[in-house]
Amino acid sequence: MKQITIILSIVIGLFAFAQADAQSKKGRDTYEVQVDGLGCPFCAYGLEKKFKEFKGIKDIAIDIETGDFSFSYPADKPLSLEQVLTQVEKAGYTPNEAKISRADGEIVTTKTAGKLLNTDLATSKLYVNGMCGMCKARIEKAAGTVDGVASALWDVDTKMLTVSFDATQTDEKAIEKAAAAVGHDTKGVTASDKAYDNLHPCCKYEREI
Amino acid sequence: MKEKFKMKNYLYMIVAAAAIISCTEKEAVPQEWQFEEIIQIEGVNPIGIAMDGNDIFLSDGDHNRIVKVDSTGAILLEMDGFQRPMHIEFGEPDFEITDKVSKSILKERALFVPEYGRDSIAVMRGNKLDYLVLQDSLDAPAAISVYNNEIAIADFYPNRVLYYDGKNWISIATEGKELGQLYYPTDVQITEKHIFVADAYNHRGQVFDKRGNGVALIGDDQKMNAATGLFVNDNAVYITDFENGRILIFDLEYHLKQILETGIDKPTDVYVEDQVMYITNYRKGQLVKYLLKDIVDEKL
Repeated sequence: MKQITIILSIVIGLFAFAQADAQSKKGRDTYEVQVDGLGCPFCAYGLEKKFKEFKGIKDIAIDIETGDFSFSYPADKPLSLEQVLTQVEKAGYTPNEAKISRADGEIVTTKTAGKLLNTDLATSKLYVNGMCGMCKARIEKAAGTVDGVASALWDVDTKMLTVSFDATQTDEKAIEKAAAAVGHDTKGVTASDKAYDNLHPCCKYEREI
Repeated sequence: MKEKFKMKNYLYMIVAAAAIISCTEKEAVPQEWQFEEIIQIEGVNPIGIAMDGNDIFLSDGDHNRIVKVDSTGAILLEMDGFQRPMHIEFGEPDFEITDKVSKSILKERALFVPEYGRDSIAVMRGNKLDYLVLQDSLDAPAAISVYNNEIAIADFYPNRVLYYDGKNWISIATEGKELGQLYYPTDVQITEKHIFVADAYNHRGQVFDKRGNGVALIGDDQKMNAATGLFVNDNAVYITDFENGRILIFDLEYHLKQILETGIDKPTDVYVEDQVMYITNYRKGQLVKYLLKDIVDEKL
């Protein structure tokens, strides 16, 4: 009898704990942002530090390899997508995709529909200067946002960007311009000093010109 | 004839003495650091390393704790509750500390833990935790060095080193790329005459005098990518090249002596004691051990 009472008490206790946990999670929105490759722990902790300005933030998780950054925040003082992306930029990083899962089930995301492309794609290799994983994420993102580009892959060792694109919609020059616009010199297009200066400290590659 | 014999004896004695001296004087053999082993530390992402006797202390930034491990990597002790602890150091300065209730003067050896996420320097003695009383505010302290009563703190976001000479604090450096300027300092070490800084995102080491003047750059021609950690002893300056997975070793005139690569991956700190070097592999959760050994001529 005594054992049954103990087991019942434990079960009730666990149930109450699970309910309380669900309640506390229910009252919080979940935020997920993919940030340009966070190179080192100093960068990652810096991003976390900047977000701690949002009082009430919890469950912060950062994956330095993938740049996945997530946290929860009280649902009664919701942050907008714009506030989150601005905060990432204030910390010195470039946000990619972001998603908010509101406590009431609503999903807010930056994801856009894929572009329709010609199946007959051209492939080019372009020299783009940079130096780290963070540069890679930025260069590939910049090239990937050019209308007509199907894929972009930058190699940190060779500094070559392999890009597949619909030649009826874009060309090499447009892709080089996109890389230069985010601070990366190419063979044909030089980034402005302002764009270069805006690069994260990790990414300030040695300029050849 | 007798005189001649005496003279001959003297000559023999001189030759014998010279031979004995030459046998006892060991010729200096050149040495280099050689890879010994990788020590896996389960569940730890080490950023900083400090030693106390044979005990190895690591700051585990990802898990907000300090761990003490043995030479096999087994965790002997865990101390939680820090906020992103970074490059740590043991020391015994006469310096004001607080337990957040009252203030006192530290009078014993302690482990100093810069907390990047809390903008404070924790002072740990056994289970007791205090904080350095600072007049200036920090913004992401990444490292501390203690040398007698002197203290230096690498203050990451303000691009400076805060240095206490035993009487007064000074702020060293401004943001920039020139000699005397820093770009995100992540480690610091005080020596008898100088202050050495890991000038992380200028990708170099830098040396300041104790009045705060930049006096030398180290390895600025070595194409380092994020010089995150640094160690200085009587023989050399050791710098971690984070993104390239290397340790660069310079002599005290700052000429490159040796580059270590074997087993090194995303290193954040390096520590040398006598003939042993430990390197923290942050991402893989490892310590890499190197030993200083005589260079063996394989032709012999």
